[in-house]
Formats: sequence, C-alpha cells, structure tokens
Amino acid sequence: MIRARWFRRLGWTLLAAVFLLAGWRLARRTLRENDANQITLRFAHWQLEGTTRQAFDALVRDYEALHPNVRIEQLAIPLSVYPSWGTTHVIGGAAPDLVELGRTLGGRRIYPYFLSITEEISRPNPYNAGTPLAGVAWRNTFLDGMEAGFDPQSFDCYGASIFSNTPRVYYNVDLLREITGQSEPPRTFGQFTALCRQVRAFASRTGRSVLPFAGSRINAPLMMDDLASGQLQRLASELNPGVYFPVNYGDFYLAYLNHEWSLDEPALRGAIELMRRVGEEMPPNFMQYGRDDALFDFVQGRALMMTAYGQDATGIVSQAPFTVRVFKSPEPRPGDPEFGANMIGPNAEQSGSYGAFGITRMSPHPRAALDFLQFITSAAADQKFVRISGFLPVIVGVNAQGLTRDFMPDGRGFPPGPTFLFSTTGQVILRQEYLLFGPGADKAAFLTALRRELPAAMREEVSGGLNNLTQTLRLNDTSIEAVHQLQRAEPGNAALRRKYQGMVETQNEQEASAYYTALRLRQAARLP
Amino acid sequence: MAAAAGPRAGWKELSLLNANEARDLFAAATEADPASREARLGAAISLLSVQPRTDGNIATATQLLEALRAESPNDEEGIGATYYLARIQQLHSSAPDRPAAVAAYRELLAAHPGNHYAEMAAPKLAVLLLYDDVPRDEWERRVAEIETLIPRLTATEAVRDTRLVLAGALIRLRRDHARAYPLVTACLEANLVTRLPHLNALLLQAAESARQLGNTPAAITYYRRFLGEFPRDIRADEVHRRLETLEQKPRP
Repeated sequence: MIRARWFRRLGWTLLAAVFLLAGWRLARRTLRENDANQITLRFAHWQLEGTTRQAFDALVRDYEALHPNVRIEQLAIPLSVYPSWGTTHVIGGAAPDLVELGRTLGGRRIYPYFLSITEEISRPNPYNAGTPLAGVAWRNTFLDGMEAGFDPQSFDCYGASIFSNTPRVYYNVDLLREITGQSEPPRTFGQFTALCRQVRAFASRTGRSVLPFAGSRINAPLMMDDLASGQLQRLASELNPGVYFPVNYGDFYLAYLNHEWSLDEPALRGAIELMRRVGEEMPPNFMQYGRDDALFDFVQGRALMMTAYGQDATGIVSQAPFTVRVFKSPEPRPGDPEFGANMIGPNAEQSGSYGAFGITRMSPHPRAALDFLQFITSAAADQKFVRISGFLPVIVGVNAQGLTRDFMPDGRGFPPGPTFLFSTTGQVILRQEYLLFGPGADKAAFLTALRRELPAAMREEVSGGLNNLTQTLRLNDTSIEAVHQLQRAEPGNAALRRKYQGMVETQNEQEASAYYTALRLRQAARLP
Repeated sequence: MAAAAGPRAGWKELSLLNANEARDLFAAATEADPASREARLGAAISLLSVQPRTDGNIATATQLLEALRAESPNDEEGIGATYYLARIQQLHSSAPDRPAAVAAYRELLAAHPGNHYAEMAAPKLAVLLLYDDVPRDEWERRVAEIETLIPRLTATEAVRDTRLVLAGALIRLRRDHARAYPLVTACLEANLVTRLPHLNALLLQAAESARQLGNTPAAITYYRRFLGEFPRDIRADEVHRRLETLEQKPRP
C-alpha cells in the first residue's frame, strides 16, 4: 500500500518535472524569439548521409561563437519526404530561413518564394577576407561558378551550395589482397575484366559466395553510363556542327531521328558491349535490386566492388568491417584494340555542386540568413565541412581529406559523350536489359528491340523538352517586359540594366534553340 | 492599396514571375486611373503568363492590345502593343501564325526604326526566317535580308542577338564557319555577351571557327581567352592540347 503510494507520488513528481522542463524550454525559445537582440535562423536540408549533420553542427557552433546574438537550428528532413515537406512549407509560408533547393524543389513554381542573390554573388564573400580568395567575387570562389543556385528560367541566382558529388568504384581492400595478393585497383577495362575473372576463380576455388561487383538498378547504370559515354566521344563530336566536342543528348537524339547515326555505328556497338560485360560481373537480375541490396552485398563482403557516389562514402566506410578505397571507372583507353577507336581520350570530369541553400522570402531575417550562407561557403568553413562530412570541396583552394581525395573530379581527358541512361530514353534501353544480361541474353534481339523502341522514345523526350522550353519562353517574355518597364522608371539602375541585357540575350538564344529543335523534328518526321 | 502602388507594383510582381498577382495589381491600377496606358499594357501582358494558361486569357490580352494600338499606334504603348500582338502570333497563341508574325515584325521595323520594340523584333524576325524549312535559294534570300537589317539596328541587344541568331543558323544549318565567324567575333570584341554560359559557348565557337578557317593567331587568342574565363570547364584540358598544337604550328 505504502509502496504503491510512493510509486504514485514518484510518477506525479516525474510528470511535473517533465512538464516544467518542457514549459521552460518553450518559454526560453519564445523569449529568445521575442528578444529584439536575439535572432534565430533555421535551415533545412535532406543530407542525412554519414556525418553531414555533425559537420553542419560544427559550422553552426563556429558561427554562433562569432555572432552571439544569433542562434542556428538545423532541420534534417529525410529525402523520401523532403520534396512534399519543402513544397508545402515554402508555399504555405512556414518554411525555415534557408532551404536546400533541388530534388523537385525548384523551378518557376518555387523560385518566386525565394530571394534572388544575383547581385550579391558578384561581390566578395566577406568571410574570405585575409585568404587568397579575398576580393574575389563570391561566384568565382566556387569550383563550378555557383552553378547549383542558378535558375535558367528567371536568369537569377537563388542559392549557394556546399555539396558536390562524383561517382566512383568502391572496393574491399582486404578482399582484393586476399584474392590477388596485392591492393592496387584496376586502372583500365582490361585490368578490370582480368580482376573479375580472378574473383570468380577465387569463389569457385574456395566455395565462398563472392561476386566481382554488387549491382542494382541505381548503381549499375552509374558505371554503365560512364563507360558508354566514353565510347560516344568521337561520334558525338562529329555530329556537332560548331565545335569538335560532343553534342548534348537532345542533339544526339535529333541526329538519330534524322538518320545521321544508327545502332550499327561501332561506337554504339562498343557502348552496348561494355554495358553487357559489366552487367555479367553483377548478380543475376541485378536490375531488380535496390540501392540498399547492393550496399548490403558489398559491406557483407559478398562483392568485391560497387559503384556509388562520393556522398555515400562516410556511410559505407562506417558500415564496412574492412578497409574501403575507391577508383575511377576503369574505362578503356584510346589505345585499346577493341574499344579505343571510338574514344579521343579518357573521360574528363567536372566539379558539379547541387542542393543550393536558398533564402526564403518569408524569412524574418534575410540579411542574417545571407550572412550565414556566406559563412558556410567561405573557404575556412568548407574546409571544416569537408573534413567532418567527407563531402567533396566546392570552394576553390579547399583540400579534400582522406578517402575524399580520390573523389576529386579528374579534369584530364576529353569530355564524355552524351549520358542518357537516367533519361526517359535510357529507361527504354534499360527495360530491354533482360535481352543483354544473363543466361537468356541475345544481343541481336536487344538491338532489334532498341530499333523498334528508340525513335518514339527519343521523339517524345525531345518534344517534351521543347514543350517545357516553350513554356519557359512564354513566361520569360512577360518577365522581360516587366524588367524593361522597371528599368525605364529607374534609368540609372545598373543592376536592372545588366539583368535586362542578360534576360534578352538568353531569351533570344533559347528561342533560336527551340526553333532549331522544332525544325529538326519536322525534318525527321518526313524521313521514311 | 494596390491601386495606390500604380503599374510599377504590377511590373515588380511580373518581373518575379508572379503573373496572377501582377494581373490584380494592373487591374487595380487601371481602375484607379483608366487613362493609364501603361497600366493597360501591363494588364494585357500579365494575362499572357497568368496561370492556368487559357485561350480565353490570350484572347482578352489580344483585345486589350488591339485597343491600345487603335487608340494611339505611334506612342510607346501603341508600338509595344503591336510588338506583343506579334509575339502572341509567334509564341503565346496555342495556334501560332508564323507568316503573320513575320509580317508584323517586318512592319514594325519599317514603321518605327530605332524604337525599342522595333529593335526587339529584329532577332525574332531572324529566328522565324532562318529556322524554316525552305529551299536553299530562298534561305539565302532570307540571310541577305537579315544581313541588310543588322547595320540599321542601334540597340546593343538587338545588334548582338540578330548577329548571333544569324551566326548560329549559319553554323547549325550550313556548317558555314566563314560567314558565321565575323558575326560572332564582332560581339566578342565589343564585349556584348553578358551571360557566362553563352560567353563560354561563343569563345569556343570563335576559336574553332578560326582554327577551321586557318586563322591560327585568332584561334590561339580565343582559346586562351576561354581558358582564362573558364579554367575549370570540362573541355579545358582538351583546349590546352589544341592550343599547344596550334602554338607549335609555324605561323603563316
């Protein structure tokens, strides 16, 4: 009886304590938000990989130490719900001060809810003072010129990013040493296929379940696209009427529809053969597997290699009970007797940032948000972010750390041909994969299927792109007139003048492209 | 409150792609000052971007523009109305009328030389005439028409974009580097190209055209300028190689 009463009292006491604690926290937050001298900034992102949140926490602590009146809160939202979460919060007026753009959160529907930072990006980032980047325009401190935040529709910049990515082949160093007696990865396609043979022989000899490559419908196309795009370098450059560099995939499709290349080209045969050979090193039915299945095979030691992006590195390393290293796709070299003639050089890579942070219009503290954005994209902050998160640097002069060094884009070589396995047309190609891989493979049937399916898929994709471009041209047409009128009212406003000139330039350039595409589609439609 | 803001608030919203808000602001401004031709022009133009896009809105915009033009065809709003009627025929209508748009642009250029909207019409006319499936001699006649038009233009944007539309068509449709090259380099030398992605493409184009035309010093200059402006471009490594080859070649 006494014991029961004692427990009841304890329960009530704990409940009261929890209630008081919650009330205190709520009151403290309300007081802070109502304190005119205290600013609370919130930023949202979907980067839940590895130690990304800890890296952000470190930057937040540094910023708060510099600005004691500012408190920063990080909101990490799972990618699966991020687009819907972001859209409802942004359009509903309840978004945080800074929101990571991308993953369908962007474009003409969303950007009007964000503040343009176009003017700011031409001025130096004050947090680079005292470094070699002092005095350099903020835009030019980024390895890719701030590409991720640029909106081609409104011609404005809406954000700055600290995320960048390249795909690499991850490998199990311990297993490689066990199989081959050494730890150097393959550098060419010939060395890669030789290693795959060694792995199969090892599995057969030891009875262990080990495959050369972990594959899934996400990971496999990464590797295949890389290899296929190298095979298309020469053909895609010859199709370019202006400069001897590869055309983009839209012009590549238009050339096919106009009978300027066919599936009988050695380049296409080479690309398909490389895809087939890589697919043979993966588990049967790998296209039915998800990303996690491939990752599971790799970290369990059941596959020696796996292709994935750099952002996965910290997660993979933390899960793998063995030493992990990476290497660039083992593409054939121009001297390769079987595949080299289609290439001009190894595939060059370029730094590409993504997921820029934009400042929302509903932010009560846009200046503070901009200041925080400049802080996290300074050279010093990016260096710290890179060290903790394992992400690639996006700022000029920042050094990659540890394993990340092997993810740095290698700009040596020739630009790859069009990559299209992730496009609508690419999906048509991948839907026929059962004819290319496995025991029932029939390459002739695969090519017949492509001949049947490709023209409609390419036409649909090019036409869809043209329709989207036409919508953009219509919207920008009226926006250009608006800027012209604003400029008439403020003839001395140099920023408006620059914006107007740029908008007209891009509009006319894009209009010419749209009419060229339409003409090529009409010409193709007349062909047998 | 919206009426007090006048047409400027409407233009501000439209510049941010907020066409529906702009339409409401222009309507309020027109109600407050029915004589404001600027507000009526804004009301018509915002209707072209109001979402959802409907044929009814395009028809209403056409009526508003025709009324503006009928009242006073030669003031800024009247000429602007003529230009946007041509834009509707070319771009905004769900059933574009290419010959009508071409005729309207030609008329604008003839009737209002030097006017902002007439100059805006020049690159639009070039696009419509050149990206068309016509016999070779007819295409050449059209090229000649645009070549004649260019020296008469005065606005920086019109000169630049008409030259570049013509250069683009010569390259894309005829692989004609000899005639395209001077058009591109005239814009580059006068620093008329302001958008970086466009500058990137045009510097390479100029270098490649110069290389194909055997003008090695110019090719070297444009390749060097490309590398200076875009040192981390994915094509930079190959451009370095081409530059080395050109620099080793004996100069003519």
